[in-house]
Amino acid sequence: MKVSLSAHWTHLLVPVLTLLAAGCSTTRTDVTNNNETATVYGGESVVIMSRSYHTGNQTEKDFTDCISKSLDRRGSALNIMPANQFVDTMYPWFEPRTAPHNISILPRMMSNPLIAERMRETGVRYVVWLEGNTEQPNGGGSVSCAAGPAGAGCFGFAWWESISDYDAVVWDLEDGKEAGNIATEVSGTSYMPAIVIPIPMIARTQATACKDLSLQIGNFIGGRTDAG
Amino acid sequence: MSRLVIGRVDNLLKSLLVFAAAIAVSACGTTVKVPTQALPDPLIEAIPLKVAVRYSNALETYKHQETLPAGEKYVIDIGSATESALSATFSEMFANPEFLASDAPVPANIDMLVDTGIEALQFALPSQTVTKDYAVWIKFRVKVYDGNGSLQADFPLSAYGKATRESIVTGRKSALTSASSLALRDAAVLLLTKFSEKAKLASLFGPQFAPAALPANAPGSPASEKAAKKAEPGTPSPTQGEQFL
Repeated sequence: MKVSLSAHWTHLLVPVLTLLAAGCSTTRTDVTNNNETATVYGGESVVIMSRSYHTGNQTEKDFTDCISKSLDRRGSALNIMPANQFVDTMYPWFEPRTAPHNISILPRMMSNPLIAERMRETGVRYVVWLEGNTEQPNGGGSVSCAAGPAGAGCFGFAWWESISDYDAVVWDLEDGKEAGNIATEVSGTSYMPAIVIPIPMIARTQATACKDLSLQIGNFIGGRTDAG
Repeated sequence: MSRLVIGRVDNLLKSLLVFAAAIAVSACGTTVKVPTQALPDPLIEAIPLKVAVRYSNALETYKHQETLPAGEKYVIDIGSATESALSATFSEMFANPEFLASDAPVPANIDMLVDTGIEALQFALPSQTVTKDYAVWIKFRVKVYDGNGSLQADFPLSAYGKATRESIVTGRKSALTSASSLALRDAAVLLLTKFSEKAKLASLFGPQFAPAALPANAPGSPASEKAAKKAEPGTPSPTQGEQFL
């Protein structure tokens, strides 16, 4: 009887907590397309890179991985080359210290026949540079927890604001031009009331930004299986 | 019933004591052994010079030891990983370089002798940078001698690596190790891309030894410096390490 009661409560709690856990957030996305024919064809690849940590704050690795996986799931027409593999293949020219900061440097790099030949071999047509991160600029309240022989519990209320602000700059390596720029900003506030049990209501701004940005990148670059 | 409760409290106290002891032990010192790493084949053409390489300052056994003001001791055992990375890099930079013991005489039939070693190492912890990042800077001293044994160039190379702590409990060692490995890889990149210019090979051996084309944001360029200055306060940066060193 005890077991079935626990199971019953679990079945009730899971959907309630899931609903509560999905905090509210607002999203703003801007897309600038400099090249109407930005399309990746069969045999061509896309690589998702984060800006070098040598130049300041680096985009979180889990965010870069999230974008890569989301785009990879889009279908076989969009080949995503892992960033580590690309960096190793182009060693030492796409390292944190040597990776080009802007597209105007690319022609000079490509004038090196070793780099140009290897780039052709990789089949990478587009490099998507990710910039930005998730911050928690504001927060307040407090939750206190205590434990004793009779049991444990928490009491209080805490909240915090999260802002996920990311830019994706798409380079077309074949044309040597910046194909476009996609910016997304997701902000939200998370709450955690606690009456014995803390119940977090998390605004998943980074996950929302990943979903939105990967969708926009996928739409932007597309993916065709024909030879073009 | 009361015995059961007391027994549970005892177990809880024991667990807390073990946990506190584990934290205390881990807080006393951190030792990391940086593993040797396989660097990719670089996209460069080997410099056609007959070169000997010599490592100074007992490089293979180099360990950085530092006790922080709070009494926490850190040991970074990076010597063998450094020698491995440098040897692999020099083997790609030159055709059949000759590796000498630190006290070996300079061979007579070489074009150039490269003598290098670690001059200083510095690291930063998340508590110092107010981030989740560990950063490591390694300053190398590189001396270049011609075939007659005359010093032709003497320059520093400051390499930098940064890694984010993924876990509060186990992340310290792995992040410090990763940051050290990335700094070694950065040192290899610096040698591959900046050695010809720093060692003044063009003036020593002719214009065919001019440096390979580098992006404008290469280290030391105005674009690189500007970008480094844009970093948010507290964020570890390559130039910040150079100030420490």
